[in-house]
Amino acid sequence: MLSGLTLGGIGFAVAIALILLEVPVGVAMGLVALVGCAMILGVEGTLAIGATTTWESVTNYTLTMLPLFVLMGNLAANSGLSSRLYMAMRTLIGHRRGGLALATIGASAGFGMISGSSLATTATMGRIALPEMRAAGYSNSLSAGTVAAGGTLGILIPPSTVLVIYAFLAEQSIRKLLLATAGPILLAVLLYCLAIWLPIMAGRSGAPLHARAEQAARTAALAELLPPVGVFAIIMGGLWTGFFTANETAAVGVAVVLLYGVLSRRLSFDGIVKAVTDTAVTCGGLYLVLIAANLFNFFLTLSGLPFSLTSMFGGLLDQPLMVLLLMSAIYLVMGTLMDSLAMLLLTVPLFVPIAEAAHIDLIWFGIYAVMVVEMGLITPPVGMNLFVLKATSPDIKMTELWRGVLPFVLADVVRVLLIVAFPIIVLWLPQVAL
Amino acid sequence: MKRGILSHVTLLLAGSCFLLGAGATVWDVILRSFAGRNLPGVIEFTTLSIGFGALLSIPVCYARDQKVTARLLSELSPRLFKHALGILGAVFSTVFAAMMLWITAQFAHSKWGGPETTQDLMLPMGILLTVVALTFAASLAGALYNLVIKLRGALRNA
Amino acid sequence: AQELRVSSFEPAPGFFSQTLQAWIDEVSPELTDASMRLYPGGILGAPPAQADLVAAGVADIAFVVPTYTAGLFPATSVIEVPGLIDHSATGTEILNTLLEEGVLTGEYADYHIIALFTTPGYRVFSAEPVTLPTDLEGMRMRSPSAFGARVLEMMGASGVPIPAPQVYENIERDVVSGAIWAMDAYRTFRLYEVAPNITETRLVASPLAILMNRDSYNRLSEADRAVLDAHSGRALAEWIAARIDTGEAEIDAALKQAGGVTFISMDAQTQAAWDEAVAAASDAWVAGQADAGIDADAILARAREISAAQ
Ligand code: NA
Ligand code: NA
Repeated sequence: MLSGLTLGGIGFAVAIALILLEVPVGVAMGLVALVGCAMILGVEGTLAIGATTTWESVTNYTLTMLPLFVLMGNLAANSGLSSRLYMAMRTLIGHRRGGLALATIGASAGFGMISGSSLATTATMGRIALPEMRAAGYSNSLSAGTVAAGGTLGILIPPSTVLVIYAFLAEQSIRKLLLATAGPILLAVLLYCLAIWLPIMAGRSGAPLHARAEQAARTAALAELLPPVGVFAIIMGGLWTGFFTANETAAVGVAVVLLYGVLSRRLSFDGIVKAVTDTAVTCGGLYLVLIAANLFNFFLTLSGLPFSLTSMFGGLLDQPLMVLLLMSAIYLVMGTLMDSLAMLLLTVPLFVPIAEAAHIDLIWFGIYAVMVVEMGLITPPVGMNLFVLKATSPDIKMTELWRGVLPFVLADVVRVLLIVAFPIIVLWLPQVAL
Repeated sequence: MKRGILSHVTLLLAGSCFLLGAGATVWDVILRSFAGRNLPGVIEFTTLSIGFGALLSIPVCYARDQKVTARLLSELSPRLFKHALGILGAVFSTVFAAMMLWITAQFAHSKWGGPETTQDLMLPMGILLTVVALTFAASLAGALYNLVIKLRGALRNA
Repeated sequence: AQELRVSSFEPAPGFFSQTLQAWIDEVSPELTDASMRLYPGGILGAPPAQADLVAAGVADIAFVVPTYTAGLFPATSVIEVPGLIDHSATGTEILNTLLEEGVLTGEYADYHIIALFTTPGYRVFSAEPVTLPTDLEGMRMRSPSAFGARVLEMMGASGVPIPAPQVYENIERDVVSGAIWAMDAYRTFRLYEVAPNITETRLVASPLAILMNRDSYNRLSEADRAVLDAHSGRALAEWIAARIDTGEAEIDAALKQAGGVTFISMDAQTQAAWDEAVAAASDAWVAGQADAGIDADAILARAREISAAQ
């Protein structure tokens, strides 16, 4: 009889092996989870787990934002909203080195302000920015890496479903957490710009220069920025003035973009049909992975793997840096294979008491946890943002994706190191404002 | 092109569920802002509608083999790996789809005719779970279809 | 030795997870062929799934809110009828007496009961002061259950079911004007920042249970079953109820001392207005159990008797 712990380790390894053998990610994780659960629980228990997990995954209110943000992005793309934004951006800053990649980071940050989810941000920018960058001659790896990394800003920038969940799990103030994101967001954008520039300057990624546009074209481009900015302003304005909640922004966003497309006559009936069916195709794949990731998460918990992780911390509590180092290592390893939300749900209940015992500020720890967890979204082999991109642009090779995200992963590591070295980056604003 | 029409209609239906959910939420926001009322059961309705849309999308995903997959080996060496790994993936997918059908059908059966309802709209769980099981039956059909396509492709190549 | 999985959907620092952990720390060392481990934070499943998961043996023992699975525990749901419960001790007395009298046997046939207890009566937490039921007219409030929403409707308000972690944001954005909830949640979710008024009436309450899988119980050695029996049933329920009521009083005192929260207390006249406003709730509850196969009238009458004797 195998111990649960060994079973957990073996399951982890088998799942990675199956994924590398090109078994679909959801199928690999789901099968390992079901077989593993059956070995621990027996058939009856596994049936109950499979059924309740499936039901919970498809009836989770927060997750309803996912299809709607994908739909909003598709509608925006089919009404030319996003591509016009991009053409305008290209006219305005495309002549600079890596200009379109910089614009992608900026647009992702902007979209992050209305999207609570990294996946939705990636899916939308993947449809908008990715084709534009590739058409402009940017290399596949730079284009895809930028979109995947920019997508992680969706979690960090409020509204963020993950921060709300952390606030709940760790019983911390939502306001303080929101204020604490300001410094890390600026840092993230800055470091991502460096992650774009440095490889270009070293001649390692292709980003062709374009001639500077005529002044008339530049003025016209500025006018083209108005509709998308207007849509964003309605959505954000409504959110901040309290007309609707973070969860409702997705539905309102769909309505606003649909209204814009129909009224401006840029969105045809065929365009709507295509947006709707494309959304369904993307979401079918995503939900399959989501259900399987929840099952897999469950199996790992059952195996006792997380519990033996916590016992590792016993003798380290007087050395906060060692605790953080160990946690970061665990997050990096888990992040290679697991979904970010599942990871957070799994680790926060285990790690928060440890952090508290080691006298680590829990607001700071929340931001840290969200940052390292979001890193998992872009680290190979299983990074959900990478798969979303792969689903929207199947012709981009996985190897190109992996190469493309590398500079951004390094930027994330630098960012984590910086907030560990200078906690004030996180804690300054909440201390000043409250 | 019978399969093309069938999957297209399914996707349209799924997408309509997303639109319906969004519409209900927006209507609720409008009612709240301008009439100070709310739409009863709107959160549950939105959730169920969008969840049903997602479930409907999964079978098409199986049939068209558009699941999220990390293609590394077959990109490095298509001649060696493309068909073999394609069949391997299709077989595992079919097994998983069959297991999920067993799981959801058994759960639906255990709740069928029982007293349990949803919290807000009081919809009978037995019926809702049967609908879930039916979408997973469709997923199994989609997975089998994709397996047949993969096998035929390999035979033609051999 | 066999490890018993004890599931709680609450985060580890939450009140009920802490309570379960305290119970485990007491019982587990006494077991000879088994041990217990807490799985907090819903890592074994979401709140509504707990009853199914313990029935199927995924969790051996679980903290369950019977009203989360509407229709499964009809007689237990009598606890929701307004006016029955002030403190947890009262509700716990009602459930345990009903259990001893055999009224609840049918609906827990799939389980071995470790403890049945209840929340205290829920109060009104609101952004704007609420003194009389008429103040609720036209308001949207977060409701703890479907029946809670029906009670709110009787006062011209509407009940919106919102997941616990999102209540704060929904009050802040004025989606709802407040919540009918427990003091414990009021503090945990920092609702005092957005809903600084507490109306000291009691509306509905929720039944709570710690349930065990039957086979898991039967699999234990005779000695271990005896240990478990010694640490379950009415005595355990009353110990938990006392913890709940003490905790509630402590939060109450701490909030009063810290200031910033307005407590709106009831006098005979205002309390009478609340009683009248929810008078129809009993009939509504009885009518709601029409298909449940229980003698709802008799159960409600008995519950009233027990409550009055407290
Ligand atoms: Na965001
Ligand atoms: Na990863």
